[in-house]
Amino acid sequence: MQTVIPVLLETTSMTFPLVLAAYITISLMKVPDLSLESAFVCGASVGTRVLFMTNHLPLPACAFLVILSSILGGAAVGITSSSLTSYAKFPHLLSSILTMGIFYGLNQCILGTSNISVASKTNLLAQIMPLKRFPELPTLALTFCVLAILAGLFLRTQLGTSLAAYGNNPQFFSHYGISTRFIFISGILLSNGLAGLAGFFDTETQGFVDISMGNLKALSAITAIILGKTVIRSKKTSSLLVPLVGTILYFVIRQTLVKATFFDHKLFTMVESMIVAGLLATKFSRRGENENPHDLGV
Amino acid sequence: MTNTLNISLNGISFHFTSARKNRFFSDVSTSFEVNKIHFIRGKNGAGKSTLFRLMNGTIFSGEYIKGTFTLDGTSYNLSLEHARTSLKEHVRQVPQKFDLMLADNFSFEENLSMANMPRLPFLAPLAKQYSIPDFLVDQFEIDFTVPVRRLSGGQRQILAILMALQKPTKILLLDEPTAALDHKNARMVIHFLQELIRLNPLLTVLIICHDTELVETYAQDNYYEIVVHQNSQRSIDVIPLTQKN
Repeated sequence: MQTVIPVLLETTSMTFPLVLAAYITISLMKVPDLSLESAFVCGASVGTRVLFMTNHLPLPACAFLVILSSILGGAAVGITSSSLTSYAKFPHLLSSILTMGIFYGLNQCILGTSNISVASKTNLLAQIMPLKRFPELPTLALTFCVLAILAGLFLRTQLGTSLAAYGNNPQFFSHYGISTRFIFISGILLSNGLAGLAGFFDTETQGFVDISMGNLKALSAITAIILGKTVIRSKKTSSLLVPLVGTILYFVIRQTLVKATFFDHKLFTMVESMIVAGLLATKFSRRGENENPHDLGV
Repeated sequence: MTNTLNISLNGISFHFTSARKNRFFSDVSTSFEVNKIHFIRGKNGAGKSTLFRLMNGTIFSGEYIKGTFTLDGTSYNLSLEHARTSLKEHVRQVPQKFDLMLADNFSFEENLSMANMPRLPFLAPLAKQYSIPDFLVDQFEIDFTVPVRRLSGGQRQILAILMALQKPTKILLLDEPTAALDHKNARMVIHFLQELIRLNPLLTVLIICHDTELVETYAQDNYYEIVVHQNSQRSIDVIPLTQKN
């Protein structure tokens, strides 16, 4: 139990940017943004590469450049997929798949190999009051709080509200001279930038970056959002509580399953998916306006 | 001399291709009295929606247009793109599928706020810079705080009209606004338009409507009918209501 809570806090803080990213595109904008997985890897790859290049600089400068580059790495994926959708008029699912193909090769070029260890470099997440067994936890928790506050403020802005309105009716803006393309690209860009940041956090925590580290990340994020939407019944069109509570719940379930001994852990993801399916089935078996599967936005 | 109290279409010729033969409209002229609700009727394919499109200054590439549109004493040559762009500043249209203009998970107030956002919405807070006429609160029992999907069809139509009117408007074009509404809601929308006209002396409303009873009840003296003649020529006839009765 002594390790469960710190692990829960660390994994929640580490994954929150990715769940927030999925919340913006998949839940609010209702866009099938699979390129989040590529953004996750690209953010990690670019961040790692810049970490290697700037490791000799003073810590604040190095940290700033690495964080910025990981966000920009993710955003580069976002601008590619959203441009394919906006300018080439591809369906976004196709744009995402094509982007994943493009960036699989690019990420390998950036890394130079399929995986790199960052163990020999300064761990940027272990610089603020590092705990003995969980050195990254204080920094990650601090980042989590800052990100939550910024996201809460952002969702109240014109752009934040527009992202939710886009998911409600993508044709809405064209009637009032508002640029739908700007809103779409901004949303995907922001979301993929967050996924890139989550990718770098993952790299620092695990100690290495791997070309396939993004696999199934979108599924994890969607599961967290579904859990959040199952529990949180907000009347608002967007609520930060959904990704927040969803992430915590997701890792509570995961940690519970990790500790469980009643099943073979080869079936881990199967049991995890069945629990989520069971929760959703319970939710939708109830009648009422809020029990519409479409409201999940996934 | 131009009558500033009238809106007029003068010598309009239009076709969907640049071919000058078999024009859709050929030298058509008509006028509408300002600050009134005018009803326009016509069979399917007669050109009602096309007429609205021309009045809205929307011409697609390859289409042929000639003629002028006079509004508030100013004549707009429809064959010139800059004139059509200027015309669009004064004309608003609510399409038949008015729900496309609304974000129905958001409230009446939030929809109005979003309609007033700049072209590139950014990090400024969503401001409440909209105007709701007082009579709307008193007469139409609209709850401004619930999601728009919970409002009646008539109330949503009123919201769509209000949203179109958030920018200064001289002509409001409504394409079958009552087609999807029951009689009670249709009457509510027309009453709302009558109040708007009463409060805004510069506003003129043109409505495409197939509901004979509604037209005969609410048209003041006459209505307009687009007639397709045997030689496929079209004319916009003014039908006095007394003649119809």
